[in-house]
Amino acid sequence: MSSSTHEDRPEWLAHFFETPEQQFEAGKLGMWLFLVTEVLFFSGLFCAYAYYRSHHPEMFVDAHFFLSTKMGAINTVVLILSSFTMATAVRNAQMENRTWLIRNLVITLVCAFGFLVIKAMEYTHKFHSGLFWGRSYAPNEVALEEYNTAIVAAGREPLANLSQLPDLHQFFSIYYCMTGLHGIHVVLGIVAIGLLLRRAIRGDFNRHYFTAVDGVGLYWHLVDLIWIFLFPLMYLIH
Amino acid sequence: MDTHHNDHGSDHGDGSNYLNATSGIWSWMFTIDHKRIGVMYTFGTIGAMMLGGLFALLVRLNLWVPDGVFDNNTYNQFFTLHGAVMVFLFVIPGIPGALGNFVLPLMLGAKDVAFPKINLLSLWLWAIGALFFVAVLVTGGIDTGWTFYTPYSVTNDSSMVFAVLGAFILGFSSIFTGLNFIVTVHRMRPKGMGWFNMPLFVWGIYSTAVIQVLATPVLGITLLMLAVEKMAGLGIFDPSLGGDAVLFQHFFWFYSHPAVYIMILPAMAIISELMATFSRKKVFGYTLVAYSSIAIAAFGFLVWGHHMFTSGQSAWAGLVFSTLTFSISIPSAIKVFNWLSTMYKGSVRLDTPMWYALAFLWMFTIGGLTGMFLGTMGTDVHLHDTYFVVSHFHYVMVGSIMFAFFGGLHYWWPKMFGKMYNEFMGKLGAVLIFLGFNVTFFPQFVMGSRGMPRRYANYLPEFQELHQVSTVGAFILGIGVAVGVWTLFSSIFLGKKAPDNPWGGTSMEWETATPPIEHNFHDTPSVKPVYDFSPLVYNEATGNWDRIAEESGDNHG
Amino acid sequence: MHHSEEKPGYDLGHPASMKMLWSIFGALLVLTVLTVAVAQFNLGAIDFSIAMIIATVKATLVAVYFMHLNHDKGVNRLLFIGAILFAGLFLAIALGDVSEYHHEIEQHRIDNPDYMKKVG
Repeated sequence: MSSSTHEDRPEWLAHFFETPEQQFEAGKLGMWLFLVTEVLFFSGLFCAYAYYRSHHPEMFVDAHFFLSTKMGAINTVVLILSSFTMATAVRNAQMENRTWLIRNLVITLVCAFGFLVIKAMEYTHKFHSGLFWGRSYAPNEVALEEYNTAIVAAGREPLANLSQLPDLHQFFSIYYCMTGLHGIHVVLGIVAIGLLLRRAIRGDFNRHYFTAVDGVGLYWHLVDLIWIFLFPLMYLIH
Repeated sequence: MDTHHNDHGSDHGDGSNYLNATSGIWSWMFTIDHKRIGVMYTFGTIGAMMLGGLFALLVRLNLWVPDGVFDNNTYNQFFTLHGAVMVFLFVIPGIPGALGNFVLPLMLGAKDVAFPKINLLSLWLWAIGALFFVAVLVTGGIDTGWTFYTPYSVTNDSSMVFAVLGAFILGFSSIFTGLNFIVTVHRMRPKGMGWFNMPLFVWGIYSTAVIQVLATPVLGITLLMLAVEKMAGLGIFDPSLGGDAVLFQHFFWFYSHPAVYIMILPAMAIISELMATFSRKKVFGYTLVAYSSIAIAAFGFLVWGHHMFTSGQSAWAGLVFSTLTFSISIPSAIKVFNWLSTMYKGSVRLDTPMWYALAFLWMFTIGGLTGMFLGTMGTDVHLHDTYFVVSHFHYVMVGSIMFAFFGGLHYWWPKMFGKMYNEFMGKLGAVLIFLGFNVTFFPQFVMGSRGMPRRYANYLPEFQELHQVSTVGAFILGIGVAVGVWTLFSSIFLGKKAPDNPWGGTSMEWETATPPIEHNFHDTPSVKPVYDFSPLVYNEATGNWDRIAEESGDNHG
Repeated sequence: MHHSEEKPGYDLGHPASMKMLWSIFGALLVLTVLTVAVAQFNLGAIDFSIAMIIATVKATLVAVYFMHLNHDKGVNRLLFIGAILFAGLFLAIALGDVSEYHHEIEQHRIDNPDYMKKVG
């Protein structure tokens, strides 16, 4: 087989690949394999969720009064928007439209930060009410008031104290584990998109070489995809 | 003029190869050359094996007398560290990391793996994971056993979090190795090499990689949840907070049962190579052997509950898992019978690697068949957590995997370092290991079936004789391993220069120079039919197997 | 487009059309509104199923169009489906077993009301 001479070999083509296509397909398969590991990584938490939801449904019903559907829905929209701009970023990288590639990545980054800010507001509010995970769970009167307001609105009697609700500490363990691990993935995504942005500004990408944009895009869509399930599982419980 | 000599990877006479192409410690620490990474894995995993072996000897020493030599807590730490170091630092990363890294790209005629930097990351993660285990040693040890079962692991005071995080990091090392190999096999095969023209070593490593990618993430999340459970008290696995300890075992064994196939499949992959090369015959039923690797990988995911027959799992699940467990013996048996048939009417040569391969057949059969006793729910209730189990899995993990690892090392060592080891010493090591191993573990079957429980620091006096035989065997085994390792390492300084193809192997790694040049091949060698030994002829003068009659049209330049 | 003159092994980019990307984005927003709206009514047991079906549809749209599985290589599709099947296998068997033995845990809780630490 004819190996390319040194001169017509683009510098972004690694020495152990024959063609850009081989490099691109290798990168993409690698990324999909990584996503496979991510799906299975999260599956443990989904398993724990399914376990406690099916055997202790009451703890989920009790707990949903502490979660704001509005915040969750806003965050869903924010992530969907970022997923959309990421998909268009891949398109613009393929079209060699550097200006719009950069703009798309910037919007994606802004959305990712926005997501984290909203998440942080939710967490802060819960910490303030003493709604921690597992053995640290210690709801205070803020939590009691919040709960009673919600159930009175739902037409039920207010409670004297929250110790009547069993096992809520386990719900919050699952809540923090799932949203926390997802949040860590958002943070990692921000790092990855940031690095990508730097390379996009430098003009690294062209229509033969956009593997990194494609790969980060796939990762970011998976982060979105997991949230698409977390949203109804956490915020839309009855 | 040496027309027979292949020149895909000749060094052009300047003696340059991957070992001396660059020098200095940084050129090794930050290398992305799969061969150097393989060499570092080789040294690292052999070191881990020696460390784990040391703990094993201390365990056996303690069991010399019924009341124990050390105090019981120390003993608990010894067996935990023995298990954890051996499993996470040696057996799982050993063959893929060391030999897979070195050989797999060469077998595919590739210049490197698909993601060399991620490959380096795997090695670094391995080293960091190993440091975590060192941290366990210096911060007070761990006595939970390598399985970290809850609730004990979340309630005791040992530095279990370090061990768990270490195993978590090693898990990612393993994932990245597997990911790399899958992509390498899919995307880096040379033109003309179809799936069924790949050496069986590649098939085995590929199947292993599939399990690594599918199962290890579940271990990752399990260990992460366990560490958080211990530090923050989640109440998911800890019954005192409303959690479920049996759920932890499901999580743990969903990975850790397939993990035993992560361990054994690469070993089987090596044996296929050794059987073919040293019988000078294509592996009998090549296609079935290839498929059986995939079948083992697939069935391996359906049997994890056989570790939980006595730990609170329901009778329903026990029945299902017991039934499914038997299915896995079919592909394993296919391999054993096909290896035997490969030797039949082959031209068998008994060099050191083949000694290890033959021992493997014997011991894998014992290890596999005793597994059937344990997979049967009724007998398992009697044998569970006895020395019978210990002996069974050591016949697989040591008797099979470590033997294959040693066989593979003796097979590829000349290619790796360009030196031949002393054949007599190699065989002496093999014999000592074989003897020592069987003397150690055969009595444990007897003890186990008589009810000697595993992991106990003390025992009833009637078991003393068998325990002492076992301990003597362990020390013979230790000496054998030392001889084997010394034989290999001393060859680097004392051995005579190795020819390019000392065993007459047919796969592409034998077509490059010994040791290989930095980028493996100047040109990708032409793809030949797999395991076709007919063009290889032994050259008495050079000790090399020369390839005759290269096809026309394959003239480079 | 501009790919016809490419050397072999250089033709990679198949940009998705903006029209398609916008429609998927719109569909995802509509489905989000829909699932929130449905959740305002108490539909009993099918509540959870509806939420999950909508989430699955959304996830499929993201996987097929944003992650362009629709014209990706078969092996990449197989991987993603395989991952979900394996996660399903894990959940199904583990949870299947749990539902068989869980009554023993419940019984233990009833018999030993004090075995758990007090939290909260």
